[in-house]
Amino acid sequence: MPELDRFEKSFRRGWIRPYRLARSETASDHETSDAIITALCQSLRDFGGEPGFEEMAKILDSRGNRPAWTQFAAIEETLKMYGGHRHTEIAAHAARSILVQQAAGSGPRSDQSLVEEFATRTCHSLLEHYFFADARSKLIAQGVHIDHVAAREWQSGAEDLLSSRIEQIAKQLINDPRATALRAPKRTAPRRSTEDLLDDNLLSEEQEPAGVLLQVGTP
Amino acid sequence: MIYRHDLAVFPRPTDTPGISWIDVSRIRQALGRHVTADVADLLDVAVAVYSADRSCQRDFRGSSTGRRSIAVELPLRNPDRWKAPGVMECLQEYLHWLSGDEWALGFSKSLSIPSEAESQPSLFTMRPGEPNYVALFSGGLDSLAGFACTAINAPSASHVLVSAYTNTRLLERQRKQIRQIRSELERRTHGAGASIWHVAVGFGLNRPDRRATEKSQRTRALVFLALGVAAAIQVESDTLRVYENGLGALNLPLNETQLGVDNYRGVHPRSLMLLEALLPKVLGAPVLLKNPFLFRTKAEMCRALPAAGLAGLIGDTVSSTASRFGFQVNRLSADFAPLAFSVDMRSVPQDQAYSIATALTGGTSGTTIWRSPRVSNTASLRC
Repeated sequence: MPELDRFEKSFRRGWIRPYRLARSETASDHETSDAIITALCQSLRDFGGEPGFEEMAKILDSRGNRPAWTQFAAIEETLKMYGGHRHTEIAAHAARSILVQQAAGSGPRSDQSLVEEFATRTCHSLLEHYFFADARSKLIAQGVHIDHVAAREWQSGAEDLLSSRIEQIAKQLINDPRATALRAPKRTAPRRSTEDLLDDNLLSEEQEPAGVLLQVGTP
Repeated sequence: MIYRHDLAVFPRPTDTPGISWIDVSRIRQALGRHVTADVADLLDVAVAVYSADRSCQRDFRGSSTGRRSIAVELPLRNPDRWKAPGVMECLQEYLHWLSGDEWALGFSKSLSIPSEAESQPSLFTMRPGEPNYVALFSGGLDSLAGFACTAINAPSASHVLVSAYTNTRLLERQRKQIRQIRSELERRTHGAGASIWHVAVGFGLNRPDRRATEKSQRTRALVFLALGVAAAIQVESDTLRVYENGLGALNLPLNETQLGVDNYRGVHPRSLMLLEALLPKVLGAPVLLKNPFLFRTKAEMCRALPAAGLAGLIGDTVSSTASRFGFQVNRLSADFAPLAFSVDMRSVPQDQAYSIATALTGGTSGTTIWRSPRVSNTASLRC
């Protein structure tokens, strides 16, 4: 039974900016995607990268030598070893999904190794965990998207913009799972100048309460 | 950090109230048999684990998923059973799956004298007739609907309904439902129908200093199931039934922000399987833990209620956690019952159920609350 289930009530540190940009009418998709990548790199750096990534990559790589159930058990052991790290849980989820996919007969993309696919999938899962899952519902509640179909379409567009940079981050993660030297790939949208920022309409959607007050006060 | 709970210095939960308590005498009173030492040990372990679970708060800051390391020392009547090879591994695996924590349990020989519930035989032995069905009865919609389904299929069986309560308000609701079930069954079968045995057992923590406790209570299910197992053993039944719809039992994450034990796993099939594997090792006899409705939705279960003449009770059912709010929603679904039960919950996409939950709780951005999954279950019935 769903009993006292726990939900994150707000975005974690660093993820509010991408949400504000996604909500904003003035920010471009490229600007939002840049903020998402920055936030992802920050989260990876702040929380020690992906503890247990190397162990899980080895488990996945040993797929020909051992039965699938021992791989699942080994992933459980890795999870226990890293004592409840959020990123380890997410990586374990990605690793399990790859194992299931393999059991169903589909392998990694032809241009990717298994470890690269694991790293890429982990990064996508991190994005879903930290940002997209909550952003979809909140953006619908805010009226930015009409329903979940529209929100999913928005996400799919955003992920297309992100995909090449996610792969770059995944490659960095393979070489440095602790993410100590992880840097966000280059921005795709030029940084806005101060002059440009000063021209922003202060009564835009982010200043809604003030806008409403003005309307009420106007005869 | 390891949280240590040495309960050897406190009275056992089944004796007098210490830092935690459970009123085992209710089982003896309701079923007319004294509680065996093995069953009393199981209940002591269950309540001690629950007490330790509630005493240390989870920390979700930073990268933590709230996992804790908890060590418990507990005196038992037959500690050797719990120290036998394989038992600790079984128990730790079950508790780890249930609560997401690392558990280390140590058992010593208890020097306390047996309590009245264990030592004193009852003057009158009572035993439910055969066939009998022992089931947990929380006072929620699933347990009522599950009972209705079973009662329709076995009209002359005996039903031992086991309730656990932590407050008298909940007990009153459970009793009210039992009274109405009894009268309805008597009315329909002219007194020749099923017999209902209600075993209501209180348990809880003593918090004289009103310290804050951990909200998630993931190990509470162990106390409920242990009580059900105790009742099953008392009536010599080898099966304890748990009435929960499949979606509720599996309780998958509603979205990807939820990790691990953010979702309750009390009656998840794996939980039942792991506990079922432990029971013969500590009790000496197997007890099957069966959820007959694992492959049914809530709507499918609730269809039995009008047939059993119990649809009028829907409004009195409570959600086990968000009692006030859950009660209101169940009332609401009672009003819509004829329409609601014609809809299959599987047709409601997960995302939509989540939106409905958010909308019903009045939540906009940032106000998704703990209660929403329960609401989504019931709300989906109304789509």
